Amino acid sequence: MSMAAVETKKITLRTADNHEFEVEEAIAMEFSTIKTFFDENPDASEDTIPLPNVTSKCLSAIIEYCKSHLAFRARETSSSIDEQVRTYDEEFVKARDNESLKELILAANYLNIKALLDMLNQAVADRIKNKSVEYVRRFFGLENDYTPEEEAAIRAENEWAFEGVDPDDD
Amino acid sequence: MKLRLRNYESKETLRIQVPSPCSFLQLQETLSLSLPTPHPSPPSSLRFSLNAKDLLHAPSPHASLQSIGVSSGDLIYFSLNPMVFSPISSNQDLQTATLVEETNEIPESSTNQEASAQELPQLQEPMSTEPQVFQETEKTEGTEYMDIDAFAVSERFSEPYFLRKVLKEELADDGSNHKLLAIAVHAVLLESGFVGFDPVSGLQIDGFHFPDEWPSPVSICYSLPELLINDDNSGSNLTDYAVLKFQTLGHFVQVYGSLVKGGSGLYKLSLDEYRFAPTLDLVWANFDKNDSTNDNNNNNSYPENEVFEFWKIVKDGLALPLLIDLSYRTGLSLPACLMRLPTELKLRILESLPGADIARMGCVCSEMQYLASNNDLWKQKFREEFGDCPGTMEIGNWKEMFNSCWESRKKPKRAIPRWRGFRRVVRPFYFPIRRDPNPFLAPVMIGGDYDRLPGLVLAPPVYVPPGLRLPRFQGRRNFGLHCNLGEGQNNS
Repeated sequence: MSMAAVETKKITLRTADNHEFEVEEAIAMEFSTIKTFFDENPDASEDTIPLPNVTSKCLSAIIEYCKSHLAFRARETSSSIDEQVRTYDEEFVKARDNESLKELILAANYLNIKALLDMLNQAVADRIKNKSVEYVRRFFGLENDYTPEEEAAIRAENEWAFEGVDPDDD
Repeated sequence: MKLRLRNYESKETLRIQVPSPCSFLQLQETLSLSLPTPHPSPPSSLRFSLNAKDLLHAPSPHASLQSIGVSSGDLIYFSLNPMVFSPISSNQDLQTATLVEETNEIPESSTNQEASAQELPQLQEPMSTEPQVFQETEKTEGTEYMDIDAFAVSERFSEPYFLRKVLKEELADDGSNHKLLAIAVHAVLLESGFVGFDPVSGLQIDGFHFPDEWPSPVSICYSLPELLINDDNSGSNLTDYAVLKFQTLGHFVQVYGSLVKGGSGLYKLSLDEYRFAPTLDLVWANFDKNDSTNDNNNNNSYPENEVFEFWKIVKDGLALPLLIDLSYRTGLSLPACLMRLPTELKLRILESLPGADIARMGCVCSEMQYLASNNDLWKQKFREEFGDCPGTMEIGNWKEMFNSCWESRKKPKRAIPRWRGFRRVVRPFYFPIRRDPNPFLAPVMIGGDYDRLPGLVLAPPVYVPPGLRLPRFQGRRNFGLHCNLGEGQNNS
């Protein structure tokens, strides 16, 4: 079924690795970037939208996420629903390794999906919570650009923060 | 410009008007015409001094007064007696002094400050003795400017403010603010990993060199160190690089950034001079003070969040996109994944972390340090950790406060009969410490219990940086409910 009824309207998205995804309009509208695009170009809904910054792996995960959350929102709000949402989110994040988590954040940022972004930010924060400076550097892929003196000074200044840090195990 | 000339012998002061810019010779001539009694000596026998001790020496009679350190409104001693003022010793060796001193603690906007300070001397190449003056003031700390021979040992010379005045006169009013913004943009690009680049010679340019066509649109090229190395090795000059075009439009500086080989987006920024120039000005003026007063003055008299905003705007709008594009196009590895995120998002990740983790993040790298020292972030963390303290002022270094409360909380109860547990309590903190269970007695008070608690280390009056609004509060409130201070705290 392509364009007959508005409710089942599909939008085609093409990822960086040239996979095409057909999604329902409702889901595509979760992506604020795309929503804005359509608001400004109402006739463009037939075209395939290129997403050069998103891989297919990321996009499929994101589509899954949005679908589930739309379904949750369609039901009545209640504490049990909230509980389910929380569980879903936890599972969603737990399954990803650090690399995919990072890619997901970049994709979510590009597509501008607020709820997912917030959730992922929190997830990243949880992953680096209480970890050593070295771990954080590796996680973020950052180079230490301090001179030894600067580094010593900064560490001394923040001495109070260094207690109880998890030992690195990876 | 107007100058005051005081006769060294008679102490009589004349006010004379000289053109601006004015040469040394012109000053001599104008003064000799103004002298009440005719004198046999020619104008050239007039000797000047700024401090009534050392001779004000001009490298040539046509040297401009500004270049030897004289500005409008200055008081200059003169004498016809050539022996009165002692000639200066050469201070040429100061020219090689390095400007950018490593600051021990890295202040929040250190990258901006250092870069802009580095760049300004290059700007002054046309004024031959300016770099000297500039570097000398950079080296002054407190009372040490007695070491400078050539220039007056007067208060105002310890401030770079006079330099700004000179720059303004030399550059004309509408030029200097734009240049300041442009230099600051350049600083952000340097901080992001770019280096200045001359496409013609293929060489890296250190230091800022503004082409002469300013204020017409000018272009500055940037490349990445890895690309330059590759170019050297392969001997080719074909790799892509980034170009920034600066253009002024009224009080806006428009910056357009793109890759020279095209194929990437054009990134445009419009920076409002009215908004940022005053702040950048203050950063520059405070640079000297920041260096010497490392540990104690947390209340910089420039709005840090404006500098942060500027950094954020330029970084997210220009530096990061260009960096990503350039890396992508030239096959370099992209900058670290999460660092490609806009600043807002990075901050949001930090926001989700507890305070101690944020402090540790500062140790990771300098960009993280800048993010992790954001004052508003720490204010939020403080509130989360230690509860809301409505009686506190809205200004102050929240990270320091957090630190102190954290430390105090760890100490065993017996050891703190009174709130003396601060490590770095020499600078005024802004929260009222309360011991008595009487929150509503006092009228509007700013500051702490200095009249009630003799043991308190906070000394009145609490320093308030000028120009900042103080929130008024109707009485004293209890502070630091969760800061366990020992016995007898009133948790109202």
